[in-house]
Amino acid sequence: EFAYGYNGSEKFTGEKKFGFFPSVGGGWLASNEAFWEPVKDVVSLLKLKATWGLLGNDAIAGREGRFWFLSNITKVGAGATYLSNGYRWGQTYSNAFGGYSTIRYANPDIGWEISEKYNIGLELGLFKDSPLKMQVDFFKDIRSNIYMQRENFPSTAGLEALISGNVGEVESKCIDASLDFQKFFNKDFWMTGRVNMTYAVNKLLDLDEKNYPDEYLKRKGHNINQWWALAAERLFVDEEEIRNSPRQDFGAYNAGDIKYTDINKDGVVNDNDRIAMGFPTVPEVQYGFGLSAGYKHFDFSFFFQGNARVSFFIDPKAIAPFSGRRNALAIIARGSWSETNPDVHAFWPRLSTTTMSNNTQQSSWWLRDGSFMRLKNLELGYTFPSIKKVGLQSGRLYLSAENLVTVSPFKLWDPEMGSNGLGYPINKRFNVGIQLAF
Amino acid sequence: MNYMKALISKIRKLSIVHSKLSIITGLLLLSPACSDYLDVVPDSTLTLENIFSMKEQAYHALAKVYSYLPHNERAVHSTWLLGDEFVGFATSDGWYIPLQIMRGLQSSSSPRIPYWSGGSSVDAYPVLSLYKGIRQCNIFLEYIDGVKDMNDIEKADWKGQVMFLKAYYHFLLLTHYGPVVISEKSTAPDANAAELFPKRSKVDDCFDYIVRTMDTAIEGLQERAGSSELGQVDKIVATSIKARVLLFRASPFYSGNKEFFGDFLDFDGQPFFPVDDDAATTKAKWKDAVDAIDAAINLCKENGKDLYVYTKEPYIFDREFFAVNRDKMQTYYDLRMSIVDSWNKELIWAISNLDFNITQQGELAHTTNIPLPPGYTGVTDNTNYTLKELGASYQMLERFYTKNGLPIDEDLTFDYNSRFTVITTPGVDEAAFQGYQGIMQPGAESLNLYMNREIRFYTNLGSTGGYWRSHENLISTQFYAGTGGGYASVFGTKNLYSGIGIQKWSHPETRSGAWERVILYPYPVMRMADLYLMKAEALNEYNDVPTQEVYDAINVVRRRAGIPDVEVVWSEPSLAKSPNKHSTKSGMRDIILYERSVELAFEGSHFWDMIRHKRAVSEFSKPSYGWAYMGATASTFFILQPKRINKFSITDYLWPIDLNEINTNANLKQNPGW
Repeated sequence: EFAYGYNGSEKFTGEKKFGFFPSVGGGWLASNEAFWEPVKDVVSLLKLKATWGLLGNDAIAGREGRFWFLSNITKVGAGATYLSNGYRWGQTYSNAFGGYSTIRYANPDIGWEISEKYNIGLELGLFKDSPLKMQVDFFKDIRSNIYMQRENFPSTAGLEALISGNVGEVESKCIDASLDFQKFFNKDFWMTGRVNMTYAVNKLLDLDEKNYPDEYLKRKGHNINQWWALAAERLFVDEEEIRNSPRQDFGAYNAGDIKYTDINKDGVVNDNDRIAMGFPTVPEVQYGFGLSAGYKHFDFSFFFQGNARVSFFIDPKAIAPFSGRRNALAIIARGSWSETNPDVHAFWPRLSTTTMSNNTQQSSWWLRDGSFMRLKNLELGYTFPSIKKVGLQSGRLYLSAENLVTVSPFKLWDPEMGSNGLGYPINKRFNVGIQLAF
Repeated sequence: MNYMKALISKIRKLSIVHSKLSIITGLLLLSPACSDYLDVVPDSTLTLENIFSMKEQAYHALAKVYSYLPHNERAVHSTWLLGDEFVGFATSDGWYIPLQIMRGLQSSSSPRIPYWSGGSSVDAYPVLSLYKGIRQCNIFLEYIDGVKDMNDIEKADWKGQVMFLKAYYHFLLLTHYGPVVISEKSTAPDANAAELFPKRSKVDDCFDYIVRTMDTAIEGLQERAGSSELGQVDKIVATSIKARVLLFRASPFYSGNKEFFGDFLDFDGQPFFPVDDDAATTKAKWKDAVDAIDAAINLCKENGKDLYVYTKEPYIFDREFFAVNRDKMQTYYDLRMSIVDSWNKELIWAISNLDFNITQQGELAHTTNIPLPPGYTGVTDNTNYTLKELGASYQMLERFYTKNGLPIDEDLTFDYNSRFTVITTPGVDEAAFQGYQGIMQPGAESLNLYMNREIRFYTNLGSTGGYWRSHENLISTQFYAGTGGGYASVFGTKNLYSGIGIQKWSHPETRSGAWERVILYPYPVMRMADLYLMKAEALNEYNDVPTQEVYDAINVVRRRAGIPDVEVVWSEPSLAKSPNKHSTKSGMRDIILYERSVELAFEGSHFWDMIRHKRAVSEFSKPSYGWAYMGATASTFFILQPKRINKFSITDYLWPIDLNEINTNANLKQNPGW
């Protein structure tokens, strides 16, 4: 199979206007070949497939970005009560002009975003009539010419609008696998099951980032959802220690506040001391498995889901006690630093009625493993036999429970709630129901 | 507008599908689609050429260039709040970013008041990058010749204004950051690395560039802006500001400052500051300053500028006081109205881009005024547009002179040690009340500290036992909790944390409730009193010993304030504790800086004076004090409390360059300590 597109877009200009995007793909159902017959009772289905293609994307920005190669200047009226782009002069301040605003600079070089996609897949059916099916897919996608902000413009250029360009390149890889089982053993007993798993990673291959003085600050080579954060050591012991430590650049701090590592050893702890840490914000592994079975009039099912290789940061601002007359979580009430409890590894730093920005910085102090496995659903049912006598097509009584059990290394609150433990939690739900059909 | 033509895309698809196996075949049949479809552009696209075609349009570009002048009238980002003069309310202090800087919370990760790179804001007006302003100047100068309906004189004037602003923006950057990047022409977004990533120029080169550019600007400028152009730069403005630039250049912070900047070197190993200036070089710089200040004063006087004198009828509520206390009341009005009487003859240049917004109430005029207390005629107990959020520190109560024009700890007739004694002011018929009519209330509770002070004390501050003139009323103030100007819990954060008001920014006719009731006046960037005191300072520094010319310059300002001449009081051993301090150069330097801190109080002068003279750390590392504002009686109110712990360190002398900027441009050297 082969296809190609020669696409043009008014969103671009000159040579950039047209792009050529071919794709090819093929599949082979090996188990349909004559030579497969001898093993067909064991391996009833085998299918291999592979595709490759280039895809062009001109929807690189919203509706307002239709003519991004052109500059965009807007005059501002003087009718506004305050003039942020203009000025008032005169005895009565009435000689007023609204000025103009540069929303975008001309950029004739912008063009198609290109995505190069590979896919190799395998489908396997085992035993007669394939009660057990397996599917494995491997995807790779290299998006290049991604239209993104160019970060390497200094303020001294005085540009009024941010500059963007086709400067990004991201490689994504993904393995998606599933296993299905379905069998009717006899007229009274059936069972189906399913296991699936996705493992996805990506990497920024290129972007226009700042000329960071240190390698560890660069985003290139990292997952696009990678965190950068300060490395917290512990809490400051006393003023003496503060005086003898590198100055921290995030607001006032005292004994009992978080002490960070001066990674680049320049004598100041600031944003240049943030290092990549933890797993990405989006889980790299997601999985689920479940089973349903029926025996005579009874049926039973459960389903687990979970994810792994994911991190999150507790948002200390969201759970800070006292702020907004909020009460304290038990762990804060029990485990915070104070003059009488000078525990430099306490869960919570020095208590304060206002936000201590030194302590609310994203740092390893608040970094947590966000992986979990959850019993999403559990159900037991009974179908009434011979119900037609009372005028019903069918009737079923069931008991079900949702979110019954969650297993996670993070214990303070449900990890799916993420950084804010005081949000609306995931419910445990129990249902008792009767399904009737007339 | 023709936005109707949608995306056109030509897709050809070719499929060859076999039953079992698909194979790759196919030729690359490139079909050249008709590209005319795609040459669609909106026909209303505005270009710079359009803006610079006719004068009416180009006026927008001129306004744009001016729009980068810092909004120092808006308190939250006002650099006038830097220093030790203002106190914000306890829990809203954080709202006022300059006060945060005084607390030692400046930062390179999230710089406060970031004129270099601009930044997000807690106000409707963000702090804009002055480099954006400079870029607009460069664009303006590159395009202005294209305007068809302006003659050469008009164009020369506008070019002069913009060229001046370009130099002025560089100057503001220099005062905050020291050595800066000079941006002579606009950088294209696709410029090469050498253009995009410049180095910081040496401080003296920056000064030279600024002065040279101002000189060129002055040539084209009209001498005096007309009444509809007030606020625009004319020859008077440019000449006066240039004098200020040269004053900075000669000041000890900038010239020969080996102590601070001996090891502040660029990547080339050369010092950024002229640390090797010797006495002769510095003296020559003071000479340049003296000449520039003289030129400015002369030009101002030729154009009728001089110290403000009140010539209208006094307000009705003051006529009785005028009848019995004429001289003092005249002085009171001369001083009290010198700022708020709009566009008066003392004003040289001012911020005129005032906010007419109904919901914005962040100007100094709003934040410092007190609501009208109950019992008076008008809108009472309303904090809209009379926010009462910013007060004066206790330091300001001490700073103003005694009635003899001496500091309170220098005047032998002033009982400094009993300044905290609670007193009752004399009764209206007592002889001791002579001279206090209209200044202090008769028979009111107060402190010794509030008595026997110069008139500027009473016109600048809101005092216990004194008066506050606003809301078209003469308000008797006590500042105790529950009394006029005092704490009231219903006002929440809108209370004076120090119990000391700042009256200077309140027009007597301003009322509460809505912006239309606030009397607008332009906020001074430069006024005549400043020029006279600059003259005294530069001349004193230039001479080896103070001359009569130095005394004369400062006396102009002192006479308007109703206090004796400087050489008279300081040479009187029965008055001055350190007599003849005025006769030495260093003594006179202190006196002049002191005079500036009084005359230009709350106008953003003292902080920079302390920077220029390398006194900022000692001056601003003490707490700012105030009274126990929740006290309802003298004994519970007059208790000194630290209101803000100032932690101004040597690092804070120069602002940090945004870390993002350092990470972007590897040719930039960060300021020391950041």
